[in-house]
Amino acid sequence: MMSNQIAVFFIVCVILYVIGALTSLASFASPKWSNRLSNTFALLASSLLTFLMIYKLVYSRDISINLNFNTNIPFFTVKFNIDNLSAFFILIISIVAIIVSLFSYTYMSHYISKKNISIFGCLYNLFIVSMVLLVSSSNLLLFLVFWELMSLISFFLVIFEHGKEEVQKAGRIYIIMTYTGTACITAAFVLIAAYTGSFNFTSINLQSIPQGAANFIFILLLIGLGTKAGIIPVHIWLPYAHPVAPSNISALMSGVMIKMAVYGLIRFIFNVLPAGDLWWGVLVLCIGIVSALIGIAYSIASTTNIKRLLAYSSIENIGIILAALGIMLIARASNNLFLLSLSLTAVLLHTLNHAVFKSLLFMGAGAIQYSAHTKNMEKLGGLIKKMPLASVFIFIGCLSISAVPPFNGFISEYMIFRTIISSISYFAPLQSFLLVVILMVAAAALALTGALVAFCFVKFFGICFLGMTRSKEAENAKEPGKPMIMALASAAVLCLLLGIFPNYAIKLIDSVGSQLIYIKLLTTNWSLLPSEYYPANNSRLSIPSGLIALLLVVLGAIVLLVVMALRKRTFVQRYNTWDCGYTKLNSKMQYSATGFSKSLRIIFRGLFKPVRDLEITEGIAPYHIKAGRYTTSTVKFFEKYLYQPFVKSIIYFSRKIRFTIQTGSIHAYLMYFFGIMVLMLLYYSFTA
Amino acid sequence: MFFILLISPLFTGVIRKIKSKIQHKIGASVFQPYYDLIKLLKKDLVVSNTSSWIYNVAPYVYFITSLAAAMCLPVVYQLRGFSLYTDLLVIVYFFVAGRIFMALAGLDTGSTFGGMGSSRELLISALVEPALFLIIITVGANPEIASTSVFSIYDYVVENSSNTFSTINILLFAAMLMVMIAESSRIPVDDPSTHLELTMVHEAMTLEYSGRHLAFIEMGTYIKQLVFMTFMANILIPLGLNAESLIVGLGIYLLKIVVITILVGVIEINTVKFRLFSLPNYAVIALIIAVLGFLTRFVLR
Repeated sequence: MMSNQIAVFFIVCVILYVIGALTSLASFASPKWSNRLSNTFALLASSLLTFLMIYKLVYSRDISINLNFNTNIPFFTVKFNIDNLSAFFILIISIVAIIVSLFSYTYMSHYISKKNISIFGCLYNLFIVSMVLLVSSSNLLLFLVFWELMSLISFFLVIFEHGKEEVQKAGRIYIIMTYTGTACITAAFVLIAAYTGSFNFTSINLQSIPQGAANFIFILLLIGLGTKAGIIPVHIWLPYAHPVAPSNISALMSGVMIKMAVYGLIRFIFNVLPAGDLWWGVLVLCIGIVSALIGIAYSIASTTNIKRLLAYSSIENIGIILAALGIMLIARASNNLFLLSLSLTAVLLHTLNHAVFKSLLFMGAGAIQYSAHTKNMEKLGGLIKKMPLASVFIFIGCLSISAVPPFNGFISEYMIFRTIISSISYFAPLQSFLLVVILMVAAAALALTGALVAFCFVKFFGICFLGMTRSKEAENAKEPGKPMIMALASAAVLCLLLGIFPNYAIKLIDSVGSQLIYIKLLTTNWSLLPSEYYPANNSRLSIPSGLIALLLVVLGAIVLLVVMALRKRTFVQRYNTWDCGYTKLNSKMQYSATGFSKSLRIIFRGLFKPVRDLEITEGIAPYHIKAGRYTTSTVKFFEKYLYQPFVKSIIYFSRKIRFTIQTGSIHAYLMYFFGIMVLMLLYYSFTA
Repeated sequence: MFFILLISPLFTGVIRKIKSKIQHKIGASVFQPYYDLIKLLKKDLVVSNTSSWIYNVAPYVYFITSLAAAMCLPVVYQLRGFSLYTDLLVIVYFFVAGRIFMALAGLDTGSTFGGMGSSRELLISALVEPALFLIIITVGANPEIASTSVFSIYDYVVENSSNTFSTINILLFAAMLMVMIAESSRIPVDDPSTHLELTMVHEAMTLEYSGRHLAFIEMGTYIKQLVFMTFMANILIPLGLNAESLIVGLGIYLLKIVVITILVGVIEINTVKFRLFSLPNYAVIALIIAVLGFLTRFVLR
């Protein structure tokens, strides 16, 4: 296939998405059909796109695919350019879109007759296509257009159930944060265009941006893109928006949309900004670590809402990705190609892996909500018996995110630790001690994060699926429909495959790396490096993931044989759980989600400031307790200490201004006009 | 691997024996853990009604992952080829896998003790994880190794086994000892011999288990403990790792493990179990020692 043919197929995919959107809208009379149509077209287009992008990354890795459409607007040409980086991100989008579309067939059916499905189907398709076009945009303006489109559509999808108050609040916070981010991005783009005179990614001359301006642009981009990614402290929209959005949308948003910021950062780092100072990387690394650690701490300790837990965990994962990205920037600034390719691989691999297992987990949360009608962990429990198949796949997602070998999360976590180890061993002999110490702190923090992730997902799976059921709703839960199970299963299988055969994913990332690094770092000839320094081929760097899986299977088989032999001689009795000799245990005596995480709340009490309230109704004697009520709550640190003072001061100044300047008297306003006009005339006369 | 499988219960017996000796008791035979395991394997099982397949599978997963971890860390230098060219990080994540399954099994029975044990066990391991990783990174990020591959580390360690008692090794050894005590649920952190609601951690998690399930869990814990000791013996005190013959190598290895066991026994007898919420202090001390080791290697030279 030549590049023109790929381009044609790419256009076909985009058109398929648009057809999906339109037919969904057209069949508004029958919500059932609009659901089917929108998902079928999304599924079709995404499958085609997946094959197309894999083909592009494997067989035509040296060419870029260009699509140009001329417009009459000055400076604005609609130009798409799919290089390997774009192709890799399109691949992530389309893989997640396939799985999520499959999931939506049944999941959306419970909204039928409650909500307008046809508009949802339309927006759903447009959301996917806006992200696809975002990563294929070849100039800043187009990037901004699709960025806005993606943000707006996702806003409408988040407020799909707009009748509820919490949804409205989430929507408000989301749109405010999104626009704060977009404002920063726009400012950065204006600065880039002002210095380079070009909006095109490919024709921007990196050297024409002076270092001071580049620093400023970098900070603006970091805030702007970081808002979408959900880095701390601009993360506050995530824990509101994800829980209220429909689960398929949360899966797309968390699996893919927040990765658009990662794409943006990589794109701007390599194509727009000069190499920069070391502190860029250190800054990103620090932000990444803080996000990872605080994200996971919140995920464990401050919520019993399954989707909010997952949202905080997304913050954590974005933090891990950013930490690797920080090392990438450090490597770029210090011109270490080996470290650069290694960290790029870590970033992209974790991006892909997180997209897969996080969409699996969000869909799992959707499946729980679909069959048990609650998102509150304290009302769930024992679901493993009600939905055995779904629970197996969600379990795989939990193992994957906790970095258990041989699942995919392990591979990328390993890559990130290896990146840190390689950078320490590179910088230590160079006497850059401050950097080494920062890297050491990063490693320790990431280790703590990794262990807390295991804590978090044991809580998630253990409380929701194991033990006794805690409510009637959970008691009546059933296995969700076949398409849903299939979606969960395919994501779980993908987790396993990416874990056992990460070399195929790394091969795809290879083509991204060779193009990006080769193009932009022409000073050193990439191909002259000895081949064993290449991550994919270096046996000292790769781990035999297939062998590990095999080892586990073989040991498992041996143990199985031993157990079979022992089984003949022994007898298994099923009996009640040990209840200390009292009356029968009930579900309220189990450990709750809040109780499970209490120790962590106490240890991190500086961050959470936990408050507990114990109300006891006494009976005939002080020790005879009739009823008790225990409530505990944590403080949202950043909202309380960062955002609230900010909002309060804005309101305060607005009030001041209202009473001093905007008094409501027309005379005064006319005087303002006059005064401004005089000032402008004076300015004009002096400058001209 | 099979060697570790065979000898690991012995060292728990040795620790118990040492503790008894210091208390002027006779104590059980050092082979008592073997007798216990055989007894447990023969016994019938009681399985909770509430539990699911996770509960039944967890002991075996715990055992298998510990065994796999043992396989990744050869006991003598000559057998390093059997390490499958894996990595120290793989070993750590094998333990994570086992721990996740055990913690889930604790929640699976619906008993309060199980949940409490799982929560505490995960907390403790999370607290010592930074120290553990720093030790591994200090070993692996050495510019002459630049890798956490077990194979390269063994090679490097054997070449440099002459300066075994360097400051770095001593610091890392101390940190690793603290991590090992926490990870294998030993005294200042957890008390393996008590069944008191308020203090038990690992035992609370496995409270419902009986028969061969319990045997496999015990075995998994023994192996895990020995894997940590092997790490200390072979990588942090590499003295004698370069022995020519396999038998001499094994002998030196056993000797070093016995020394570590005596150390653990003496520590156990001289300390009391900490409160759960003073464990962060314990973990931070381990972390600081590891940080000192790190700084000695990479910054202060």
